[in-house]
Amino acid sequence: MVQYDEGSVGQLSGIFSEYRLLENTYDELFESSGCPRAVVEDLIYSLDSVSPDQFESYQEIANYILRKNGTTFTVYSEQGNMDKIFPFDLIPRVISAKEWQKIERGLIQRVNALNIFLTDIYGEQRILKEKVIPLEHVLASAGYFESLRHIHPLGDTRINVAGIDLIRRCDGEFLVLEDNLRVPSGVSYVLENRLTLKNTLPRVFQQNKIRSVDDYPTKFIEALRSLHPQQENMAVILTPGPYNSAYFEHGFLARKMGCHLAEGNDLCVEQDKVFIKTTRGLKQVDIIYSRVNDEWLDPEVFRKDSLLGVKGLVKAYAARNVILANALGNGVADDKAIYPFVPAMIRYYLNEEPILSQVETYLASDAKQREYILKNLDQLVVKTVDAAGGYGMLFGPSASSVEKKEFEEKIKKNPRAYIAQPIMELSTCPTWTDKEMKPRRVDLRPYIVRGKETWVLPGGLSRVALVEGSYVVNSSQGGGSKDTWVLMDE
Amino acid sequence: MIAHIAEACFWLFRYLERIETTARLINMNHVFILDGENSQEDSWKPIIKLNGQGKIYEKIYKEKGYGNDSLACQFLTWEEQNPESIFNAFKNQRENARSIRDTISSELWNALNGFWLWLTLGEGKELYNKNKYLFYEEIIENTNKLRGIFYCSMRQEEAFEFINVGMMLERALQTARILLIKIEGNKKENLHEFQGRYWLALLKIFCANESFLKCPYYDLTRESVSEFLIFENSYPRAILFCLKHALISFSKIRNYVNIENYTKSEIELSTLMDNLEHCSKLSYINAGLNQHLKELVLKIENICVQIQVDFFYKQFDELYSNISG
Repeated sequence: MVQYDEGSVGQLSGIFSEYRLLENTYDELFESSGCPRAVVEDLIYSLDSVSPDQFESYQEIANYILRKNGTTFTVYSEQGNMDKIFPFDLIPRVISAKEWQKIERGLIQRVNALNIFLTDIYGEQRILKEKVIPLEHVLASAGYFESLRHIHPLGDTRINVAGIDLIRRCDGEFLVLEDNLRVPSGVSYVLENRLTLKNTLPRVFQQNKIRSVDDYPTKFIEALRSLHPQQENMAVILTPGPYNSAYFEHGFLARKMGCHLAEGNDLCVEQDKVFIKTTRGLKQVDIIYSRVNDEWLDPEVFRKDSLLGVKGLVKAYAARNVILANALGNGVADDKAIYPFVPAMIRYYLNEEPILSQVETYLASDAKQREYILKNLDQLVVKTVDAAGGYGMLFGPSASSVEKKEFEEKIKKNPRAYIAQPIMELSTCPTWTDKEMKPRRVDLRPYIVRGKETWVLPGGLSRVALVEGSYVVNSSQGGGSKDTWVLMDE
Repeated sequence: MIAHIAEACFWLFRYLERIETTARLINMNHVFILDGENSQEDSWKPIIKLNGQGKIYEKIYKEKGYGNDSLACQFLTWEEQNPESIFNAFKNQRENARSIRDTISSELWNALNGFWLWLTLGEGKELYNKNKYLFYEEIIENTNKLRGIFYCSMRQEEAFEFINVGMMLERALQTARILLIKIEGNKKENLHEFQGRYWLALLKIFCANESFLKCPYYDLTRESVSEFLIFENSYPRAILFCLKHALISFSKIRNYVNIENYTKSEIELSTLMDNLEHCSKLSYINAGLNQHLKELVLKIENICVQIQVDFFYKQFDELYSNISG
């Protein structure tokens, strides 16, 4: 068993013998008593039988496999060193079948409600008329485009793929931290991490019954195709190009989904139809899985200076000649200032109680709440409502007074752009780092795919804050990742 | 060219095809078993029996059964009593290459020999013990490298075409045999979701998953995957593709050898290909596919035997009898 303080460590004598739990924090693999959780007991003991040197050599093999497969991402600020492997450690994060059932139901419910919300907001706006959510608040979102109102996308589905970020509270309950309904990335790492773990530690893998993740790309393309009225249809993935940090993923998905990987210049619009320029001439495109953000997608409608988009694409989309996945304008639903209203959406549209809880959130746009935020800056996380990737954040407890002052000014100047949340003690998972087993904080991003039916990839991306004491799991901010196991029902 | 040299050429890359197929089967099997999709026994038994090695396995491992992946890998990779083990196929291939060193390019020989040394002087075994996945990946990469060197370093004349005929016919055989065991091993009562993964795993054995998915008219079903692996003209491991390319090499050989009449083996191959090309794909797949594949395997095997007769042995028997008569 593992202890909090220095001392004897019972039966664990291998790589877990030095593992120390953090206080008041849920650990994914160990009970607070220091014993392995029941569902992972065999796993822990079998991993523990490996010596640290041996484990380090397994870790080297895993890194080699990732590098060889070219499983990399690009960091914007590091010129010259374009490709990095996404740090991966071999200790899996494990979720029991029972826990997963609840998460799965909760995610389907949440994404369904958000999908209806988007249809409503770009249509009748019933939810605003009935004042369930304040009108000004929604219309002020940077992700809302009045120009897209009354456009009914082909296939009638606005969220085709969602990545909903979950965290686990100290009592073990999963909470929704964030919705990603535009271009949620990271799923390629889920598949590559799984392959790497299987091929590095096959024996460990074999002893457990783990749900497969390999068919995500085929499930996803099937879902997209199911929405198109024609049986035979041409689908492409639209990428901003090789300089995008997720370019590896775009190519990975194109290969696994059997799609062309196109850049904006490869596509053109004629008579409100989208075409791809091929050696055999123009071919009509029926489905676009876009990895380009809305504002860059069509210089005719959004940013005029965009070289990444396709002129006329919005017209083709409005004419229902092409499916865009995800639909345009989804940013209004994953705006961090809209997030506090999602439980109300679920109640309003589905007449159900939310299955998954979420984190208490203060809106700077509300005078009272703003006052609270400004008074308690040193105990809160402040987030910019439309930023992602761990950018535009203030982490109160560790921020300098200059940083706090700066945010105070910003909040006062543009309150709609900020929200604040209490510091959440993210759960930890044993992580092999610097040749030692350490508790590191993790979150979980499951992927929800919506075609004619809704499907949730069992597991998702477990991101790890690799720096000691850190809460920031984003890959662009020094985060790593783990394989996530969802166990089969016994 | 000298008949026994032609024979050695014919066999050279048949071994290579077997080596690669075995490595691919093992790697894919591991990944698939780990997902709990199939039991160890259900997965390894058909592979061990694929090239008819079940009896030898049972003799060596008597009561241990087929459910042990270490034994299965050992048997398929290193077992000297198994004539089809990677080790033996390699040994034969190298012996074969050594006997025609003056015919094949130095580059091909060097690469082949280097690969053999890697396998036998410890490095390969070390990697095998350290990480099996990387070991088999290395083997697969090396087989691809050898083919690349072959295509780029040898004059395309008779020897080249004999190597190519052997490679293509063996590849067609391997595709047909694996497709057959996977069709027989698929339990139809399983869920739709399992079926998709099962057929995807089969395609991966032939590194065909990405090519398959790029054809929008196919879906991941027994019918589509079978159609692709048998009939897809553009895919280099599909049976029809292999037969066609073997036939092209045949016609070139006919020109080189300067025989006016078609050989029996060429006629048989051409008939087999025509029948396959002009049959109704739908009924071929939906009515008695197992039987069709069994017949196909038999016919290709017969063609391989007939080639020996036509080019490597029979002519001389006749010549001798003519002389002595």
